[in-house]
Amino acid sequence: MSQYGFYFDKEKCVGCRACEIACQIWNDSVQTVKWRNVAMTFEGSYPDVSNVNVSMACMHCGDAPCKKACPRQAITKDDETGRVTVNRELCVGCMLCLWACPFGAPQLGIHGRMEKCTFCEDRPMGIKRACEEICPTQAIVTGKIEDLAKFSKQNVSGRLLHDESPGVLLGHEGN
Amino acid sequence: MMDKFTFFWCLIIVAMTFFFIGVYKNFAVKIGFILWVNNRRHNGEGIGWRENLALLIPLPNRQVVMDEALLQRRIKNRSEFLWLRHLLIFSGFVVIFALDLFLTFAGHYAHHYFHYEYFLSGPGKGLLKFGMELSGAALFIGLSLGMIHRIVYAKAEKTYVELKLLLLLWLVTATGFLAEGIRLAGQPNDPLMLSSFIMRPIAQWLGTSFSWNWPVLADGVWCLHATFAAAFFAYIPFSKFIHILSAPLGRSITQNGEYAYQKRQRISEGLL
Ligand code: HEM
Ligand code: SF4
Ligand code: SF4
Repeated sequence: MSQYGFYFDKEKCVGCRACEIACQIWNDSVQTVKWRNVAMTFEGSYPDVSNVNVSMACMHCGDAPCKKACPRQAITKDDETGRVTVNRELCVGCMLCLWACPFGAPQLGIHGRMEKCTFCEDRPMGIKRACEEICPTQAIVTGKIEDLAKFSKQNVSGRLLHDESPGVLLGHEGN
Repeated sequence: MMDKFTFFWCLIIVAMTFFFIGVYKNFAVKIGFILWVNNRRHNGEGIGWRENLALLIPLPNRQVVMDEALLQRRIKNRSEFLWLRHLLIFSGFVVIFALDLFLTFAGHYAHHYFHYEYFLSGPGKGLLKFGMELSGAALFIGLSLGMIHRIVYAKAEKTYVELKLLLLLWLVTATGFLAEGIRLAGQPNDPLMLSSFIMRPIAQWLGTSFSWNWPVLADGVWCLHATFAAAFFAYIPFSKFIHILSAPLGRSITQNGEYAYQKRQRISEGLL
């Protein structure tokens, strides 16, 4: 089994929300609410302002809390890719999965069923996901989790030479 | 032969065993896990128990509870027809269930233990019967509409509505009405006949047109009704009916996306 995931670099994200749009366009036939959201936080006042943008969707957790929380066993984890998906025929739209999810990822669609990132289910693996492809600053990178961990370490160690807060979010919560 | 109430209590015990095992496995354990996993996430953040509790179980405001749990306005997003039919099923079920429980306790048990008759043979019973006919009718209409719609639009609705679920509750409701009608067919002088405003004309027609053994038939249909009702309760936690418990809770807590927004904000604040 492989586990694919997202790597997100807050230092690179400029908050343009292109990833949100790319996600909506690519998944148009199955998406009725936003699956990817950019959370923005500002602190302080001019001229001392700091800001962070975090682009978040489902992280396809290793031991997915949403899957364990679902009373209908509607959420499954794919053996091949590690992607976590909702079966709309089983889902009753109770939103317990959202209560359990650390990233606030599952959203209730207009059909009253849970929807969330499918890791671009209909895109062949090995090419970039829609959000990753559009990101003008390469703040989102996807791949196998081992490769992302290496990539993250390289990035962090490179940055530690200049900066004490590397600030990356590695997208895959193992338990 | 086994007395019909002995049969009923045997059924209840079996059904409730299934019900509680299912509720434990598919609901209680899930809620416990959600609280545990959210709590684990906040551990070490140095927050007090009050704030922690508010994060674990955020109290939804009154408007959210009204919209999500009582009016289920979100179903309206799909269509007004679906909303109306669900509201008929929901309100019909809740009212008839409450009245049935009230009749059992304030009627049968109050009579048995305190010789209090008002809700068993007095005017109170008429009132309860009237309410049960009315809510039963709402339930029956909602379920019938649901089944017809699901059969006609089978292709589009297959993903969202389960026919066997509707059919089971429909059978509970239909046999309930039938049991009442057949009982009244054999008791044309029942003083509370007026309260059964739906089944009265049917019962009178049955009673005058056929000369069957009504009391025996009534007991048989009553047992059938009890069997379907028990099967329905046993099936709740193992089927889409679990949403009766999980949807009002989960939807009220997650507050129309507000809870998701707050979770994402906390993560971004953590990275600031
Ligand atoms: C208490 C709050 C409740 C909520 C929030 C709720 C919510 C829902 C939702 C979202 C659906 C799917 C509708 C759709 O999109 O097609 C549904 C279906 C259904 N519900 Fe409920 N429900 C509740 C209570 C009940 C109760 C008490 C009953 C009665 C036993 C019931 C019986 C049904 C049935 C039979 C269906 C399938 C048929 C249909 O879609 O109309 N529900 N419910
Ligand atoms: S991020 Fe949320 S929705 Fe995605 S797998 Fe993890 S718990 Fe489930
Ligand atoms: S909303 Fe659907 S997927 Fe989420 S917990 Fe409820 S039934 Fe499971």
